[in-house]
Amino acid sequence: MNIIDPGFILGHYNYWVAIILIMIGLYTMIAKRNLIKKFIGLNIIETAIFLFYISLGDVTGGIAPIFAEGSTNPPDAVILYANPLPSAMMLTAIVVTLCMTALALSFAVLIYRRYKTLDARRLMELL
Amino acid sequence: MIWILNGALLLTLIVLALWALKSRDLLVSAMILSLYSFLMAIIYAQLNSPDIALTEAAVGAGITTVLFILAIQKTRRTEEETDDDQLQIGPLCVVLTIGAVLALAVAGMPAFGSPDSPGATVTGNLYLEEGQATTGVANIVTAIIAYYRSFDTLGEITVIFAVGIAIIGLYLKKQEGFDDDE
Repeated sequence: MNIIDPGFILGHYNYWVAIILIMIGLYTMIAKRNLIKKFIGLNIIETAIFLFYISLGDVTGGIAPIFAEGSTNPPDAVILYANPLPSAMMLTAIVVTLCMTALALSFAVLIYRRYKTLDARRLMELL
Repeated sequence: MIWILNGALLLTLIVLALWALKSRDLLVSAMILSLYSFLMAIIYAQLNSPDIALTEAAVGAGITTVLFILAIQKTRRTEEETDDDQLQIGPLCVVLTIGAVLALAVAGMPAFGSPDSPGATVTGNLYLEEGQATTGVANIVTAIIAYYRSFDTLGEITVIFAVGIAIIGLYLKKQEGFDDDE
């Protein structure tokens, strides 16, 4: 497999975008000092991970794993269905992400009430 | 030609993520994150996952944005004056290293959407072959969530419950200990 091969690069473009988004989110979390900005970076990382998993399950020329009315079981071998398992797992992950964001933001609000700042460096000096 | 639309959407995602990173106004960042989630929902629908697209549009673009706006309203709208605007070498090195490791891992994977990639293998997929007969549901994602992986869903609901309890507990404790703090 040649790394410079354009077909190889184009064939993985969803994965490359997911990696770039993970890198942007990680940079936001490490370099930015505002707590809410860090949580925005966390959300970017998580959506990028969802994109990666959904891309894994997709198949070219396939359709969503929902059977049409009256279609018999097992489904037609002619029709390609996308893999339903990544979708099901990511549905759980989206809700857990929401819970994490809610908890993190409520911590941020409490920290701001007490220390009057959301800057991570100033917080380290105050603590 | 659908891949041109897909590529444009993915490039827009990167631009929006960078904009959210750059903006000093947190409200602008939160709204850009909402737009980003909405575009991501369109991409999920494009990738044959309508369930994820609906959930992402409702939860990612909706509820998460509401939470961010509430938190910004209760704190402050702009970032404090810091010197984190210019590119920092240390975090950049860490991020580039992790990106290189991920890129190496992805390079060994089969091409996106190829029918012989393990993630997209349909023949022999138990859920697709027996899901409808076992559960009687036409949407296999629903069947997996509510039947095959129902303990997973129970765990998810437990997480929601625990977070609700934790948030209530945090704010109750704050009110009780108000005199000690001030």
